Amino acid sequence: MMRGKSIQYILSVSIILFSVFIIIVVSTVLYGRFATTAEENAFRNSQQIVDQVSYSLENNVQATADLFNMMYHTISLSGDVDSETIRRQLETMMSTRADTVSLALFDEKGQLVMDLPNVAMKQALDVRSEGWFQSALDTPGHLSISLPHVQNLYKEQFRWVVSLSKSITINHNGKSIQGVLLLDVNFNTIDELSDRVSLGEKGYVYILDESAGNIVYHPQLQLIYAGLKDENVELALKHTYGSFIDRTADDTKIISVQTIGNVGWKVVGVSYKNEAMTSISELNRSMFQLLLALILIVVLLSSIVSRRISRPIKQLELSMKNVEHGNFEQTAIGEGPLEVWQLADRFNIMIGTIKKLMRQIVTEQESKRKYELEALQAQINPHFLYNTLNSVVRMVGMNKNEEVTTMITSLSRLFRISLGKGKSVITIADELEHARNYLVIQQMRFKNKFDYSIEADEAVLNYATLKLIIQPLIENALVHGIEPSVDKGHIKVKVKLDGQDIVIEVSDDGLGMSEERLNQVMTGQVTSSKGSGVGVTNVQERIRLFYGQTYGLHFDSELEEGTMVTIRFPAMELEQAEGRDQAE
Amino acid sequence: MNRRRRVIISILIFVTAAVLLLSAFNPGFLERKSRTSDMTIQVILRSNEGDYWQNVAMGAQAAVKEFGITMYVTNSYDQGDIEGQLQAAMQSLETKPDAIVLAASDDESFGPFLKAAADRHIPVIAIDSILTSGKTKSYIGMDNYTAGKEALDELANQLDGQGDIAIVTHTAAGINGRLREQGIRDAAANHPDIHLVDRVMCSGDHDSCSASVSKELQEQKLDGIVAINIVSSIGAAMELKKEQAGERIKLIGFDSSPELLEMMQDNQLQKLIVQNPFSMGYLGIKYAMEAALGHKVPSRVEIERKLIDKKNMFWKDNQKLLFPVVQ
Repeated sequence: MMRGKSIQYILSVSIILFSVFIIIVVSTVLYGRFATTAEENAFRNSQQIVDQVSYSLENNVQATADLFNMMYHTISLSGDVDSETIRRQLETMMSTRADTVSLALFDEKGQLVMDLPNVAMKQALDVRSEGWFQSALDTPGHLSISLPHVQNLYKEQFRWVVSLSKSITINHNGKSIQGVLLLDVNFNTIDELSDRVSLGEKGYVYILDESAGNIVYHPQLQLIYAGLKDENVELALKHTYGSFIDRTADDTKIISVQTIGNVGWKVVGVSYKNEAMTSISELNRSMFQLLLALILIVVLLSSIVSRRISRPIKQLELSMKNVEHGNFEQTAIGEGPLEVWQLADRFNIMIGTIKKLMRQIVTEQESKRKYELEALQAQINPHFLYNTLNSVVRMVGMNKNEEVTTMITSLSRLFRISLGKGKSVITIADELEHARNYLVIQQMRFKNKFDYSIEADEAVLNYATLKLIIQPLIENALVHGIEPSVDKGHIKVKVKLDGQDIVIEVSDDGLGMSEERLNQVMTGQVTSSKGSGVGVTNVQERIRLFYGQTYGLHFDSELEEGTMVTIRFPAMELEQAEGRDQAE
Repeated sequence: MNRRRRVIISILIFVTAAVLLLSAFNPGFLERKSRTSDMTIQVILRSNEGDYWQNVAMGAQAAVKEFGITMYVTNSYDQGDIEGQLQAAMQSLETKPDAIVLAASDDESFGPFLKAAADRHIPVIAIDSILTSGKTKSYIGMDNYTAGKEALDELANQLDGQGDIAIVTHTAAGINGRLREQGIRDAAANHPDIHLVDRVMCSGDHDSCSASVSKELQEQKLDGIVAINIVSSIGAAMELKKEQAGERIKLIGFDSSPELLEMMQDNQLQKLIVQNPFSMGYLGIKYAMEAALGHKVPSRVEIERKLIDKKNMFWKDNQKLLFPVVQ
């Protein structure tokens, strides 16, 4: 997967993937935790509020029921309900609670026996058709608590009350009769209590009658009756206590139920789940933004970091490419991380080693070549020896003893210098001596077909020169200039100092060489069978190997005019040149 | 990618990340305000008196609580004060409400107002009284014309299809009054033996209406009366009660009040045509909110009317309708 991708890419992608993974895991865990807690809290809150409301209501109802019972006993135990003392007692009892509206006592036929306070009743009224009257008679001895309703007893009064009623046996006008006691309590208290409750922004509390499923109180009761709203009471009716999720409507609601035992009502709290979870959705959004921000930062950081790492590597690569193209001089710059820095260092060391090795190989090759050339040059052409000895034999036969002596002497000197002591460097004096001996031998052999002259400054004689560099040139002059010519030729060797250089000129006035011939000579394609076997090229090569490429031979040749070969090399003392020779 | 561009992109990424971080730690930093809690709705009522208008206000309040919006209510003391109401309405435009719920006292006079509101792209929901002089998003209220017809049919029914009747109307009955009257007149044509003999115009409170009815009763022998709004209903009922003519002269009224209901229990009037002002207030706010949010709202929402008589007035659902305020 990562093959062929850049470090920058690999680093960025892996860092991003890893961070995103971590962030997502952390967010999910946090979110889950938070969501669960928030939901639990919402449930608990809702339930607590409902519990409190129902507790207050239960207290309220209980206190009212207690008051009713107190009045009930007061009335039923009294000798005559019409007596003023009873009335005053009941009035005192009623005044203990502000929300009592009225107390009324009816006989079985619905005739009013007593009421408190004394307010005019509607004339056309028959209480026997009222719900509270019926239920009191239907269940004797049981306290009936009605649903809130508009009391239709009194003139010019339409009050919302909860009616408490119970059948009662009273003493009236000396007779013991059956009747119904009614206490009306203002519904206002309950209404206000329930209205004040808030469950979140939109949540509310409503009260449900357990037995028939009628709604006792609801903040939007009118809308429900008008069919504009719908309250799902099923869930609340099913449970006596607890909090539940209601998903029947568009909005998911939390329904909390608590039953008020003494009256058979249920307090139901309705709160909206999304409201409770607002913080969750906000958290969700924040998390998402955090995630995005972190990803961006990671992208930024990883690109910076990976570039920091990869750039020095790329630079190193560039240095390597240079080396590839043969440029060993540039060193790699070590920067960036330690590893890259070390790598650059190692690379530089390696380049150094390679350079050293290469130099070594060049040197080795050069010296090897030099020894080869020297070995070659050291060979004396057997042909030359044979010719010379032949001449000697002839001269002996002709009794030219003196000439024989000269020739043999020259030959021996030639060999002495030629062999030397295995040294490749000799003085110019020796070199000239060698040349002269060679010339003497050749002159005798060629029966004075040429004459020669050797000129040398006194100053140059002690300078060093490579061995046997003049002789091949003389041989060349003989072979190409003098021999083919019919006239008697002249060979001139001249050594002089030109600045820091020594210049040796070997000139003849022979035939001269054509351009083509010159080239052949220079490239070593022509080797004279009569010569010593050491070619002009050999000389050239040796000079260049020893002194450098700027030195060497130079030919000036003109047909019918002759050839002049110039050797140029730096002036060196013998010791210096020998030291250099050995060093290599 | 050259260096300059890289730097610019880096800075952009960094700034974006910083903004996101800031937003993550300060909720609402990037959010646009489009929630209903920031919405204000202006409610302009014809009056703040009487159960009817209080009930409208209660319904509106219920919607406010449910949707979490902000509501401002203005109302005139006198239902007939067209000029005052128009002025208040024009002023309320300056506060730039998101929507207006309007119970107008007059149709034509509010033409300029509706135009001004439309110019400011403020949706107007008409409640109680329909408006034809300009563009409203919706009308929420009773079908007053049909209600008028129903009132006459009911009276004809009470009179066994024959008799002389009169309309008692009121200067402050407004648009609804005109529509109801039209309904009554059109329905009367369907009953050959019902004769619409007179039209009593009263103004002011119910006592002055009583006086007008009293004057009418002296001049004319009537078998039935249709009173067109609450003040004229109370005035007529009180006059009938005073004259002990409740059994003889049948009365059909509009809207309800405790005193009317009590007189109904005393047989001073037979039927009341009652609407549900709570629903009206509630729906007014609800549709105003939806219109402000750009949702589609029905152009006409009819509020159910109820025919209340002595028998059904204490039914459970009617109790809440007739006695909305727990006291």
